[in-house]
Amino acid sequence: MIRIAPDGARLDIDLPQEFGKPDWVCVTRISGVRVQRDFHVTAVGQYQVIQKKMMPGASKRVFARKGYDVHLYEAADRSDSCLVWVGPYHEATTWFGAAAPRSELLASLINSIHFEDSENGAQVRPSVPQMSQQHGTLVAAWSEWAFLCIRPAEEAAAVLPEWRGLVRDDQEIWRSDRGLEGAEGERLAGTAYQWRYVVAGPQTVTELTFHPPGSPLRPQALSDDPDRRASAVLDGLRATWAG
Amino acid sequence: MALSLPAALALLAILVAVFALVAVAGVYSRLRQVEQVIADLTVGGGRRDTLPASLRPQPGESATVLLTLDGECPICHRLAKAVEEEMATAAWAGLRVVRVFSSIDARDRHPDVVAMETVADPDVWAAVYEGYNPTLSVVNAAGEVIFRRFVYADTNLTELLAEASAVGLAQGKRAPSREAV
Repeated sequence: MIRIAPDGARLDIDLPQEFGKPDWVCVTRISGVRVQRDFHVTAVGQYQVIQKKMMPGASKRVFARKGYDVHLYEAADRSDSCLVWVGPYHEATTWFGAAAPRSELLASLINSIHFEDSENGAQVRPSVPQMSQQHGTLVAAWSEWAFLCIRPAEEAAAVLPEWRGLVRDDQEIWRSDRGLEGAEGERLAGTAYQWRYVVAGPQTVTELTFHPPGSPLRPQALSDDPDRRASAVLDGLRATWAG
Repeated sequence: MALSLPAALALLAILVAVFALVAVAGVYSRLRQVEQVIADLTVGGGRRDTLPASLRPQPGESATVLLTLDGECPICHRLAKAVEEEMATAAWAGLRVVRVFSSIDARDRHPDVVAMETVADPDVWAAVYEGYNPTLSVVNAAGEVIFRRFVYADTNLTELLAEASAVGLAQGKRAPSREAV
């Protein structure tokens, strides 16, 4: 399947069926003149939670643009606020952690971000690329079984272990202890749940973990052979990152 | 007290150095200002242009309801059908309803509806399309889009159409005073 990363890169991902149905989440960071912001991109609709659950009684302002709206939410006590770019398929959120900035700064921020939505992912890029940098972009997916995080190889080199991994075709695979503790750690020792898998391909570094039974991310009723599923996902997983 | 030549030269050099520092700082601050000005000027992207006159409400109508439709998608057909039913009621009197298609092929996949106007023109489509089908928008007399919703499979159409017609009809009540000015 094809996904568009927030920085405009095109990802071609082979995701085995054993991974489950993915919910995509992307993260990116833009820093430049008067802009220093992190953005989270998710499927559209999450913004409704802000007024319902996260900040009940929050005020909302909408700035209409062609193809998307920009929503400004501010908590009733002005302790937090966020800006959400809402397109037809995806939304991008950035949190201020304080009262909303004054309107000149808001306008300047909205104007300095180029938001372009499509079915396969939304782009959140600086509108003047010469004056800002975009980095820390990653594309992640949740399913009922597992969590997956894809980064471009040039940014992810630092997370790779120093020792040699298992070489398979043009990929190298490592597993490292994910640090489960106490009774859970003992119970899951020796299974696929114990590990965080890192797959380094020519263009991407992918991290993969499986939700252990009892995890809030995993529906109670699911049960399966974790090792078989882990090897099926690792076998079929391919990701290229172009642009 | 007479100044020796080396001391005078040293003083002069310090003076020049201080001047150079001030000049660099001055140029730097001007550069930052220019950067900010450029950042604010490059607004361009994202703002909607006003729509062509052919899509604006005619005299006697308060607003245009635009349906941006595709030939294939089932939600487009459902939306068009719901609007058609709504137009049969008195609540939608005074609203102009226009279906916009990107091509004649797309139009031909929808049934003819006498009550609705139909436009199948790539130029009009380009002016209206916001990256998603179907979209329902309300346009005022000045050609501004004052209401726009992307319509999904789980959108409550009754609620959406009530909201859109309320926005459109409210526009009509305000219109005369604006024209007087």
